[in-house]
Amino acid sequence: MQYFLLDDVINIGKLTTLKNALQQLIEQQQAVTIDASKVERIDTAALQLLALFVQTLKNNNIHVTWQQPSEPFITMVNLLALHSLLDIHHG
Amino acid sequence: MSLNLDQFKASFFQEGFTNLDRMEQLVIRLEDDPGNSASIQAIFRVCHSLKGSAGTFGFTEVTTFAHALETLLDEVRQGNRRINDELITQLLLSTDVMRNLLQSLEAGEVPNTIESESVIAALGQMSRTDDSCNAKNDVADAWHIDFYPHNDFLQTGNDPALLLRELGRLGQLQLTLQVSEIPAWEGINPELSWLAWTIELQGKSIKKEAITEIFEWVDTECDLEVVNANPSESHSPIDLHEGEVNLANGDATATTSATSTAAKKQRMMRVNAEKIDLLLDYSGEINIAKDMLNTLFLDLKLNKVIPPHELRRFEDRLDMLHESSRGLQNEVMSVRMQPMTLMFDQFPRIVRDLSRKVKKRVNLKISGATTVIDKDMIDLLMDPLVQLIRNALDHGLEIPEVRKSRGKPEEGLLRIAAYQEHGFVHFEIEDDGNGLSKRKLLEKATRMGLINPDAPLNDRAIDHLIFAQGLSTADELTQISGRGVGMDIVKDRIEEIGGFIDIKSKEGKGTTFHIRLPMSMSLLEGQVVNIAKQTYIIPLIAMLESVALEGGQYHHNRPLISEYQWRNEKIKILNLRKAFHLSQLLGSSPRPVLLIVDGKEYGPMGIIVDDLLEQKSIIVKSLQRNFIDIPWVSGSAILGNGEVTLILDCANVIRNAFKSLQLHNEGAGI
Repeated sequence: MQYFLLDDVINIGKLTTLKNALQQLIEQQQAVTIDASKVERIDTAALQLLALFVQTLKNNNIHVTWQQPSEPFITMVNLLALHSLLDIHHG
Repeated sequence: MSLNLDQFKASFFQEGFTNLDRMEQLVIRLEDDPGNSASIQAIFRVCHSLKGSAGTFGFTEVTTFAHALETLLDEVRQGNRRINDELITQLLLSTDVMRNLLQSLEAGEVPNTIESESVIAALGQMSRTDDSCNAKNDVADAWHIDFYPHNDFLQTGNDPALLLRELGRLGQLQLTLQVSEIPAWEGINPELSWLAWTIELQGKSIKKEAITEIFEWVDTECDLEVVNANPSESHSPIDLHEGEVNLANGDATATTSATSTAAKKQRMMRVNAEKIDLLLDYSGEINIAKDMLNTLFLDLKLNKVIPPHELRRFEDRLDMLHESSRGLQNEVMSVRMQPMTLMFDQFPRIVRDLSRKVKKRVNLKISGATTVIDKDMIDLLMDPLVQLIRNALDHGLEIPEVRKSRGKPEEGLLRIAAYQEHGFVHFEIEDDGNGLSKRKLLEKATRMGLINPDAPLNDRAIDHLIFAQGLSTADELTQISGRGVGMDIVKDRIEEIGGFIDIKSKEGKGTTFHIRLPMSMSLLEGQVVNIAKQTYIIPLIAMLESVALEGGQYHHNRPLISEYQWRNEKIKILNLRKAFHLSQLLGSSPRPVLLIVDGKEYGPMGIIVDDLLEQKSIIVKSLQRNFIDIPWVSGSAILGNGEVTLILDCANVIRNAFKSLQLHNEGAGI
């Protein structure tokens, strides 16, 4: 099981760093726990990339677990109707 | 940063054609139910979406046309224009124009805009008339909003979340995520937007202007559509098909919806059909290797080369391989299977256009659209089925006055049905019209020298004369279905894909065509037989019955064609050894079997084989593609012992035999 902690602020300016980190997780071919407890601000671009990451792992039958997603994180997911793509409980 | 859009063009065209098909079906539906506001909303959305995506690729001919159409559609959905025959005809014509434009653009040609400009003028003319009512829908309690950000939306510094948050201040939002295709992770540019939404906004007296204001500063970076969700009190969702999967032509399309049903949540992706073919080839090779291993296993078992416990281990592993390879083959085949919806959805438009041309009224009944068949078969079936429909409308059904005088309803029945039975796919095309005149068929066939007037034919054989080249009982040549052109081609096409066509007709009552097809051209259920120590495969679809013969009932030196009493009828039987010039020195088989097969125009025919071996699913290898076309062979297959075996086309084997007998008789002056 791999563990990945999301930064407190993630936006389009940090996408390259985020993508590289997620790429490494994909290459490990192991289940991933994403800790979203520290997220204070996240934009659509970052959530879109996370959604693609989750879908890519799902296509490879690799399980993704969300750990304590913060309220701002869940609010954004709700606002953008991204639950099913992120495989996250509809809060 | 510049984006190369070429890679997305194939998807655009595919989706464009699919959307136009859908639009056509919606228009037909609107004609049947003009009060259905959801239909007109859906047509508008399809048109708008096509305009937006065509604009992305710079296809101005399409955007210009779609814009003109959209203007007219907007009047309709606002209740300012009546839905009548003229409008429906114009909308259907518009789908044709846009389809032609897309076809030209896809082929890399400059579209001929003469047609589109003339239709645009007609649409404009319509827009200038019939605008007596002028509904105001600028304030409403419920709005439907389509929000489709362009690919570069995020790169321009915009964030959909901010807009949606603003929108939420106007009322209660219900969002549905619209994702036509989830991109691949590899090579993704994370800054490109691929998310889109449809939004239901509900509140009290929400101004349209308030909504458009929110999106005003991104109007060039997205496609936005704001529609009164309740212009005439009802707003029900359109459900054209059992699922959304089938709308794409041949490929599955992903649709992810946050609020949709479980069926819509199925994960899907586009797959190139050639890759599926390749998978099927590999799956076939695995099956052959598995069969070879099985043969080896049986040899080892028989010769007691391996100790029993090792033999059991071998057998266990073989069973596992058997299960896996069968599962793989089934799954690959199922991917190739498509519902008839793709084809059947086109029939209402065809029937509408043709029935108007021939001035007939038609009650079209379609059933079995969800029956699945190999996608390649759908492509090959379309032309023959359309020809049968044309014939039914042109020659089969009578004009209303004639029907009335015959005591029939003025509206003629045309029934198109598909269903699966005994592992085969069946089609029926039935009309309650004129039916065939057996007298006329016999007269014409005799005149053309197709039959011997002294040799009586049964009803089935007479009806089958309609499939003879150049023969028709139609009194007049028409533009719709021609005269005597087509039915022979229909039969040839059906037979080329391994099928059978039958006809039953009763003069004055109507005609039914029955087509029987294998579910796939790649996979065949076959009977392996032995003839003079040679192995052949006979497709099960051709076999009607097998009869075990006593050795004495059959002698291998009997004539090429002789007679046999089968149940209550005397049928012809064919000596395959003679037909194939196989050795006559091997002596008769101790347990010959008579296979009764469908001899098409010759009716049931017997084929004598020396022995029946196994029945199995066979991956068909094309001989035509790899060697040459042999008329009496429909393909080849590799058996478990590695032997390459020919698959017989029974109807052509029989035709060849009769032909060579005729030549022989003529040579001998018989």
